[in-house]
Amino acid sequence: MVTLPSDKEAFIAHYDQSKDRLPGSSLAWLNETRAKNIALFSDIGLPSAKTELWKFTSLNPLKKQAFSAPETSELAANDELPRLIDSTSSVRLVFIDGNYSEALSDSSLPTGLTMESLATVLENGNRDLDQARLTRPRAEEQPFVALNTALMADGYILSIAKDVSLEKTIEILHLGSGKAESTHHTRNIISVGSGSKATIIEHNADHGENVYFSNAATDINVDENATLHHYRVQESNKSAFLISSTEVEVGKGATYDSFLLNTGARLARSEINVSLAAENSACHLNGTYMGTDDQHCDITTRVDHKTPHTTCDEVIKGVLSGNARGVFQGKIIVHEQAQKTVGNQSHRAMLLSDRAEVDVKPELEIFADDVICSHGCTSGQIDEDALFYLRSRGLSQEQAQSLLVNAFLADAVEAVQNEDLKDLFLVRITNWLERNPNKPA
Amino acid sequence: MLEIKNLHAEVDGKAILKGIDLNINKGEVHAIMGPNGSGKSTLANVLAGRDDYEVTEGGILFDGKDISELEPEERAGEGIFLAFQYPVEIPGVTNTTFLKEALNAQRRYRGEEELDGMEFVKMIRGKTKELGIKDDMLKRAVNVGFSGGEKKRNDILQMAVLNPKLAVLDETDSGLDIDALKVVAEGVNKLRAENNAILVITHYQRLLNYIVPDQVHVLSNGKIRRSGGKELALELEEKGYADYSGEAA
Repeated sequence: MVTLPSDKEAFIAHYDQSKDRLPGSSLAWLNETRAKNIALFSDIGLPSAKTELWKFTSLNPLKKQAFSAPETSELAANDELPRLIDSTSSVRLVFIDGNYSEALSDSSLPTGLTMESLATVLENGNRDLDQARLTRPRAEEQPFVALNTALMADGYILSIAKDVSLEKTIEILHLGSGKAESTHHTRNIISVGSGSKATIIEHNADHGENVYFSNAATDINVDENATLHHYRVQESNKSAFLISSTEVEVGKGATYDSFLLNTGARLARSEINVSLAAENSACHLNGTYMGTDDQHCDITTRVDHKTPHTTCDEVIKGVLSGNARGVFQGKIIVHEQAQKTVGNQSHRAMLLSDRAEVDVKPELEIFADDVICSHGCTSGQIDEDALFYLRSRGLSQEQAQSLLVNAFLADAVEAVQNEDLKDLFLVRITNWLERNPNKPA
Repeated sequence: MLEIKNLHAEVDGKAILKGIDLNINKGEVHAIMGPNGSGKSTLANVLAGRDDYEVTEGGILFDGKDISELEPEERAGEGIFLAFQYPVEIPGVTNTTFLKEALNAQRRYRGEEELDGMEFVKMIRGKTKELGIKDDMLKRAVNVGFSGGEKKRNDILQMAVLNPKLAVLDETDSGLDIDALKVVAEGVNKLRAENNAILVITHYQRLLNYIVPDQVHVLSNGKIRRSGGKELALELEEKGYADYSGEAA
């Protein structure tokens, strides 16, 4: 086992040591892609406080951490796996420490859905991966995606055929085995065929409290008139580092609906970039985050309205206690030709301690003249008048606070488009509040 | 039931109440009247136990027990209810949830059995019917989008459900038109009983036409300057508070 510190040189050294053992090392184009990306990563380096897109999220805790090279990890046979949705209404795919586990995943998939593991596709070399989808439009701004492309070892390639309405939810469990202080670079691809409808819910959870670094990149295509509900429940342990970047292309008349519920990890950065380049394409980027102790949660989104009649709604709400820190950066760009754009963004944070902090950067860049756009960011403490009102009726300070925080967050869940899954998020919010009762300040 | 003795209180270091003495017995309705800034709302908040209000001298006995150090929720459990001058909006929390949690929290405090969902629904349906309140109000978020009158009626509904020993009505008439005022007063009167008491705090006499007090007290500059029967309210209505405003403590 090789122990690696995690500055830039260490990641490059890691690449040099492992490139011959990565899946698909016999594919020339892939080796070239990996080499090109490690060179790009080497040029850009890890983000620092001077990097505009990262100025509120310090990577120092990550850089200080030493990780081991990834090893295959297996779960003990009797380990129970968390499941969000009952097996009668979902199909579940399981990744352990970033690696697909065929044995633990549901074997029979509904008609119209295909799933391959990236490792298998690259190893077999029997199918051409859409290589274009490994290249990001703003690659030079995304060092972690470059690193991911150089080191990607596994992930899922999900395809939903045309005109399919998947009744079952696709649940993807990303489980940390708790055994290795590893790094994993997973690369995922989702394609939703025209006219289709699907719900994918990803769940980050851990056995154990160990440190690891997950660097994920996901590329999504939602074709004409299709709808993808893409939800995430991020409940990793409080030592984990999670960095993810999602790039979405939404087709004509199609909708990308996302919701992030973030309660876990030492540091979680979720970046979502959506391109609305076809008429009547729409996206919903909603979420809630809850942080305590030294947790850091960063949600960074960018929506490009590139064509007329596109819509985006964004409602993010966060609650922070202890020394926790939240970051919201939301960019909306309305390109010159994108008339009749509707773009609404709101971020609201509630700080439950004097030491908690939130940094926000909403950015609207509008080059078209006939648009409806709004944005609003607020942060504040719990409403003292409301707290006293509730207490004067008999609720304890703790109960009253919990009721108010719950109501504050539940409001964001209202935005979830798949009605059946709202309760799942609401229950998790309530559970979090029960686990983290706030003492009176 | 309520004995206030030489009560001094301050807000942000500023003395507002400067020695209040007041006794209220079971079954009685008392009114405290006074000009703006006399300390009326401070008294209401001090009774309910709001954090920013500090008792510096004297005390409050409720059923013989000193409550001046109790938390607001403990006072609620003891049976004190404050109807707010400005009831607070609580988005995302329905009236039903709120009322059930509040009632059960008080019952727990008193060592009583909590009501289950069915019992609670039955009880609350009875109360809404008695007060002529539509059931759909129960499903709405607490006071959100309510008119001034609806908010006050909602407070009265809470009072009916929680059934306090002492209800303190802090300027309940403010912002109400005469019809809404009558409805609210009617609600309060329905809750009058031998075993409970009501303290009405108001600037104007008109509310006392509908909630008729046994005793009226004039509060000015942090002290009760005069006490009398209900006719005192009429006298104040006629002469105003000019006679009392000059008295410095």
